[in-house]
Formats: sequence, C-alpha cells, structure tokens
Amino acid sequence: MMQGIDRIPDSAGHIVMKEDGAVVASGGDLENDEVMADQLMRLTRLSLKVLQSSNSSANFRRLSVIWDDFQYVITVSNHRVFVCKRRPDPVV
Amino acid sequence: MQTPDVNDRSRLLNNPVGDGSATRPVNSYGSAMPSQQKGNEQSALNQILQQTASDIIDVAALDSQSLEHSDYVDRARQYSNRLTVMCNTGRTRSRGWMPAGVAAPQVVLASPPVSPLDVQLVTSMAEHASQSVREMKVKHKEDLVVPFTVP
Repeated sequence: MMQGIDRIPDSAGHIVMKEDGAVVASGGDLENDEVMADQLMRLTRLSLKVLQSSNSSANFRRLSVIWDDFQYVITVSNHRVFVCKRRPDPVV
Repeated sequence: MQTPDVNDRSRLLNNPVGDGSATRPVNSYGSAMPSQQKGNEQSALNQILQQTASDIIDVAALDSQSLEHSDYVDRARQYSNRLTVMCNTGRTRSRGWMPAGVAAPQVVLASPPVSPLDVQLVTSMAEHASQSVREMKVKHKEDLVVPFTVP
C-alpha cells in the first residue's frame, strides 16, 4: 500500500490518498493532517482536469509544489495519490 | 428576627389567583350549550371518530393487502436492475476520472527534485507573461461607428 514512499531519504512526511480523497496512510509532518490532505487532493484534481481538458492523452508524471525550504511532490499511481513532503539539501 | 406569623408555610402572595376570590370562568361545556344541540354534538363526535379511523394506519392490517405474485417479481426485477445501473455508473464515475498514473510512485517521488534553474526559468517566464498581459492596451485608430452613405 505504501510502496516504500516512507523510505524516501529527504522525506519530511507523506500522505497516500484514494481518488475520493480518503487518506489511506500518512506520516511525518503530514500525519493525520486532514486539511493539508484535502488541499493537496484539490490541487491534484485541478491539475488533472486542466490537463485532460487541453489534451486527453496528456498527464503529469510528477507535480511539484516548490517552496523556499521544502516541496510537495505528488504523483498518481494505481488510482491513488501519493504525496511526499521533501526537504532537499540546498543545491549550491 | 422573624415575625411570628411568617414561617416556611405562610403564603408569600397576599391574594393568590387560586384562592377563590377571583371570578371563576363560566363552565362553557355544560351550561353554555343548550340541550337541543345534543344531536349536533353526537354527530360531531361521530365525525371525529370517522376522521380518527381514516387517519389511523393499521399496521396489523397491512399484511392482508399483499401484492400479487407477478407484481412482486416484476418489482423485484425492476429494483435490482436500477440498483445495478446505479452501482455501475457510480463506479465508473469514481474510478474513471483519475488516470492509472505511474507504475512506481516511490521512484518518481524519490527522483531528484526539479532543478532551481528550471524553477527560475518558469518563474521568470510567468512574470514576463503576466507583465505582457498587463501592458496590453487597445489602441484607438479609427472610428468604431462607420456612417453608411445613403444615396
């Protein structure tokens, strides 16, 4: 179910959701964060909708929401939304 | 400290409503109704009885109004058909909208993040685009209303 996303090296938290928005698993900073889960789900839905309306075959592989010191990376797999909050080392 | 006639049983109000000094309301049931209206009263009672009987849902008697067997089978089939249709549409709606996506989410999520240069590029492009849109203006060149020359 987790598919090892809790073992990503610079991960600060993760959420796995079903496509109806139900949280299947969560951990780290995002543990039991229903509000964040809802917002990330809405963002994912919106992105998919925008892509599907422009080109039916297009789809994103990874969606990155980038902040100064961390980022949310989102991907869809097997009708589930996998979100990981990462704190990558600052690239010099 | 207490005066002798004031104790816990003495009345706090001097003239309570119920002590008989106030005038009682006239008993409107017996005295106000003349005896000749007794028949009307009887019919009114019957009416109430009938109304009550028609309002009652007799649960015990519902069993007697059983459906015909063919009707029962028809309805059962109709309901199960509708249920199947509803289930199918619900599933396709909830399953269909999201693409299958990638095969290995952990690999995609763990792959190196978008490089800062790319982020910078996207940010600057978006800024340029928004600035261009903001500076877009309509230039007045010729008259919008053109008078037709009527001969």
